[in-house]
Amino acid sequence: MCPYQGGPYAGLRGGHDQLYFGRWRRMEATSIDLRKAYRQLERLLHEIAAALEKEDIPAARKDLEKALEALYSAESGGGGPDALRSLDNALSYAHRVIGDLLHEKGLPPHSPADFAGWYDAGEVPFREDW
Amino acid sequence: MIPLERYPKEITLRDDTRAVLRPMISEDADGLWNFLRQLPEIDKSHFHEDVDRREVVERWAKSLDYEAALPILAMQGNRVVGSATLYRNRTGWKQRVGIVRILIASDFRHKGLGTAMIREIRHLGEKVALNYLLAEVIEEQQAAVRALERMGFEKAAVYRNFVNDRLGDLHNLVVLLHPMSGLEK
Repeated sequence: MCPYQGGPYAGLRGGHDQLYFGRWRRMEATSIDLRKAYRQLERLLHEIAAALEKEDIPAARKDLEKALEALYSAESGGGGPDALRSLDNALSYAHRVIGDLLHEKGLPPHSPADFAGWYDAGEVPFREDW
Repeated sequence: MIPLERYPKEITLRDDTRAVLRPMISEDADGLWNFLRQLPEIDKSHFHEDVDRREVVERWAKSLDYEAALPILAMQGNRVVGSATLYRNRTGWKQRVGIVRILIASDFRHKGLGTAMIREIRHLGEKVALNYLLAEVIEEQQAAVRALERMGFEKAAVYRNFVNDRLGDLHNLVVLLHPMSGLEK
């Protein structure tokens, strides 16, 4: 079961984490993993856009635009390191927008690190620390 | 007028403790003074006045002007555990630049309160149509620098040995800017 089940934005949070801990970020990732991540991220950003329509968070809208921009530049970057970087950037912007949505509901920021065990992740790239 | 209808706003931190965000009022003088007194010296370096003196804080509380400086306090019960202030100029060439100062009680760090306060100030900055938010942080305050960067602030400059603390020691000053959503329209 998804660790966010029953809470607000569970789908967005779960969708984010699947990408965050996804195969495409590993050394052994193939171009198929990258293409799959691209499609997953595209879906996630559209779901985020739908959630944002009900909220008045201008900064989050701007971050979503940046996420989409990064996503589309990943598409034009083929399967190389630039595409990987762009996907990573798009995911970071998506993370910030999810954090904004949660903050509006008075909830703590989304921190995939808290559920790394559930995703069987070996390492966690960063943590909230302020 | 700066819109304040979102307050009081209750937030839950990463360890499930709760805090209420709201604008400072004149009755907060004691709470703010107690909060400022317990902060590490380095966090008090930027103040123009000696914030360990109660009368200084009382004067601030009596002369609140949200259009010039809007302090948002994070409260746990009656205790101030964080403050985020948005400074603005009503006129002049920096009237679309907001200056941000955030302070967090030592025992409330690493819980996501700083990030929540940055989100609040970013939201308020958007509502008053600022073009930029500007934050100045001493380089040693790395957690604050990282949190600001994670929220979309970008390092604009680092001034070497530029500011002194209250003991006279020099520190590098990091200037971070956050472009607001209206800027590119």
